[in-house]
Amino acid sequence: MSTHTASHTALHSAAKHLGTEGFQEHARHALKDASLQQALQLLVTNFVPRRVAAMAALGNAEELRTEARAIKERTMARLDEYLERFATQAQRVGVQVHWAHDAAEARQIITGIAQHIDAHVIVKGKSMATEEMHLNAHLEQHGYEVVETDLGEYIIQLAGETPSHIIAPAIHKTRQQIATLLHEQLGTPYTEVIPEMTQIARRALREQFLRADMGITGVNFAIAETGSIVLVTNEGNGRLSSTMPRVHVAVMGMEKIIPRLADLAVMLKVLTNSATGQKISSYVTMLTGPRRAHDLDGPEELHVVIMDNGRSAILRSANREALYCLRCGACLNVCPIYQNIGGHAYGWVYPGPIGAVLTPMFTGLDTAQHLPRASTLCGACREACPVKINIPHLLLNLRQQSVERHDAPWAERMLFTLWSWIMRYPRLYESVISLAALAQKPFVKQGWLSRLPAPLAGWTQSRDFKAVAARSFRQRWQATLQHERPVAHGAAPEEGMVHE
Amino acid sequence: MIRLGGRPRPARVALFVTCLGDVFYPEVGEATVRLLHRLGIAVDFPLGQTCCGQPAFNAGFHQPARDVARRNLALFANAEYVIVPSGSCAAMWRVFYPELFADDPVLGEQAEALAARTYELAEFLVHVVGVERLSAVFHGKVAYHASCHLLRELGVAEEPRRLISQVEGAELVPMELAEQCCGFGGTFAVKYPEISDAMLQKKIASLKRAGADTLVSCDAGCLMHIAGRLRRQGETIRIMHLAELLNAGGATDAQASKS
Amino acid sequence: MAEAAAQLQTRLAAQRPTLLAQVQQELDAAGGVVAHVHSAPEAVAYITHLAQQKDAHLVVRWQSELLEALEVDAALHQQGITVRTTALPPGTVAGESASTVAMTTQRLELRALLARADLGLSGVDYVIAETGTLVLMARAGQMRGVSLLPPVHVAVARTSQVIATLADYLLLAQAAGADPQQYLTSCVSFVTGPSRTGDIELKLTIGVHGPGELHLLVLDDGNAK
Repeated sequence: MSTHTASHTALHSAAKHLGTEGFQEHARHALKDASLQQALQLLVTNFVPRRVAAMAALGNAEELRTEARAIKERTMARLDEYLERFATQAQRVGVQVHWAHDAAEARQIITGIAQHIDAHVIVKGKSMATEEMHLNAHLEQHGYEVVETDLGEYIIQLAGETPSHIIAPAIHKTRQQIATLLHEQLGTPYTEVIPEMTQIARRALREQFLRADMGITGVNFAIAETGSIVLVTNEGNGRLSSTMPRVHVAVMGMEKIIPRLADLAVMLKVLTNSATGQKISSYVTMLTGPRRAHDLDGPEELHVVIMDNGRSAILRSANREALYCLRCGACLNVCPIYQNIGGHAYGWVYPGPIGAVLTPMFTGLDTAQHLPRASTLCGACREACPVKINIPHLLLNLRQQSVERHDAPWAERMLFTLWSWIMRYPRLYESVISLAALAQKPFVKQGWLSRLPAPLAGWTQSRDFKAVAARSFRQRWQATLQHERPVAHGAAPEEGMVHE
Repeated sequence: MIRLGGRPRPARVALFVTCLGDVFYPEVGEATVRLLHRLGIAVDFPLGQTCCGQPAFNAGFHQPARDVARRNLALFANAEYVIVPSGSCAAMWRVFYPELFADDPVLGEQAEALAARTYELAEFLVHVVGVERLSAVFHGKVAYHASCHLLRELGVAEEPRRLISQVEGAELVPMELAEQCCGFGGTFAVKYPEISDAMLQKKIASLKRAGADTLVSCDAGCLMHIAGRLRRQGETIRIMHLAELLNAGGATDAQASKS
Repeated sequence: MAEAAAQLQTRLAAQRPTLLAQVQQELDAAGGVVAHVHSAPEAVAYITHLAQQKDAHLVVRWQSELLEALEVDAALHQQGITVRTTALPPGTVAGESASTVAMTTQRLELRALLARADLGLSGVDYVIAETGTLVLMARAGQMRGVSLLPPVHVAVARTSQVIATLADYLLLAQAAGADPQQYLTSCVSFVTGPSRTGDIELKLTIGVHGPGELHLLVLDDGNAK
């Protein structure tokens, strides 16, 4: 690996918040990283067209999205009730339900379970919720052997990195990088052939599934009506992690609840079609309690850890709809910013548009205020979202909150106060424009400026800037335009324009 | 209201020319006025107008944005139609003014009422005026850049393309990344210049692949952004606002274009 | 509920030919292999042929009425292939719980068997035509691991088990009982094709942790028309 890539790794191995400076630096690196740029092209050539085709093939995608959103709205309107119901129903079928107020408590609960059952080896299915709490590091510190079993997560774990995409955690890695990684970490023969690498991982991990004491997975949907949890996967690692070890711990953000069993049909459809363009994933597993007396396999114990970790604050806020998120990754794939800088620059668990909303809300607007601003508000994310989350409006809300908390730089505050004055007094506005027109004169070439002073210099790094027009529109209006007349209406024979 | 062949056509509209239009692209406002005149529609231009307030609003400064927006509520209170030759400014009025004043019973109502009378130019021409034929003439291969607020906040997609197709001599060529953000995003282009430029380069690459000699859009911000880069690269692709294209004709072709 | 379920079944019966075609199309597109068979011997022939092709030594199967009726064990034995069934411990009386010790022993034994089995053979509870999905409910005799651990999974379904959508399944399930504990077993697996991943360069690879091959035999039980 080149030194460039190595420093890249160091930046995100910190797994800590990057802050504004960190974001800018990381973004610049990412833009110059040729292999990352090549990998990110896959979003455009692969992920996006697949989702678009799949949604189109459904024939009623719009209705499904509307219905899915309505289900989420209903859920959030009465979340406590549904959580209570879920807990009651789950407990009836033998699930041990745990409530974690925050990441620390969740870690404690999980470590407690591991300790209680005298676990040594833990296999993990993919769970973004466990990334929020840095669970692996914590478990390892406490002496447990933790093995990620989703192929992408396994690769990331071997590399000592964090996932860069919600659905495809290792998307930023080339096959050559992965081949080297497997060879160096596992001692297996070097191969760049993807099916061969996959088989290497399968063999290595099959051993782990069989010797693991505990399996930890996430939860895609938790059904209040029946106390069931649903896992949506393709590889089979979710099934194996929840079947082979004697104890299964499922970790969920509290927003994963859906009210009724019947709701699953719609939610599942919009999830898989939006995430990977599949009508359904290879495996959908609905678990209602641990194994029963007559079951010949399955875990003895099923624990569900329901985590808040800032979600109830989001629920109470103007940004409540951020909780509708199904973690499908569709918004990442269409985001022009994500497409250019990848996931690690976002600095935390969730990248892309939804990450720009969740990160400040979970980790604090003071350190993450750059994320809502690092967007052109183009709205592609909202269009792609299976539950129609209005991400651009949420980003605007966060920008407003940031300003109200006095997080915006003093200079910007002054700038807009000044701007407000100028815009409220047309005479003042006109003077400022005339002044600008005058001041720019020595620098204008054919109506353009190739360099702008300090705060605006970023623009002219790579682009020319339009010069202020010699005569503004309002000047032209007052001089000539206002005296021009429309074509007399009697003379207009039909639709369309008429020659003067 | 004029009645022509049974279809009511607006007799008079008020123009909100936008600050970018006023300061940087006065030709766009001119073209808009002349276009409307050719359709038999009179144009008012309340001189007190300046900006829609979006820069402050987007930066999270709601109070300054409200202070500025409030003036527009008053200035255009009696306008039957407000025409805005900019997708992002029209979206500001239509979508965000009601939000800005949601907590104010009086201004909130005014904002809602005004929003209902505000139109971006292309949608006005197609849906209110019902333009089917244009006398504009422009020879060129035209690619259309679908600016984001116009497309996704206002839902205006086909209208500009339809209008472009009505211009004699103009060949509308498909552009793969027509609906991809150009990277302007207001202050984003200055605060995150490298990301902005990366987005812009992809846009321009798509434009070149489309084989267009002219790019048309409904937003001066986007045009400024794209044109700025094309110029830096020494490209000769023309940049035009839709209003200028629809106002083009024969001898005035050269004046209406810009690069 | 029950009425809705009955109406659904009637509708499905009428749609069956279309649904069967859809199963073929969808599961095929998802990388599975679908074969329509018209008799038990035909089904058995398919299974034995496949097992031979895979050079299988050990087949582990569900204990189910359908699989018993096929009499597949004998045919496999003839090829020198061992067949084991995921049944409750010997001597367990139907409806009663086996002793804990017996169950533990049985579970460990079957786990070890499945870990080295070459082919897993199961029935299904339903097949969902819209997506080509097998619905496999864990119950006595229907062990999860059969469709999960061996590299090849063969499922045998009756045409009357084919339904149209997931929503159909959810409705039928809820119509079967008032208590979720009854109408949902500990694990309901919805299986659509072999295991897959795109985690390396978004290139699709078949066969990761779950089976790399999935075969569905649809047996005409007079409900195909």
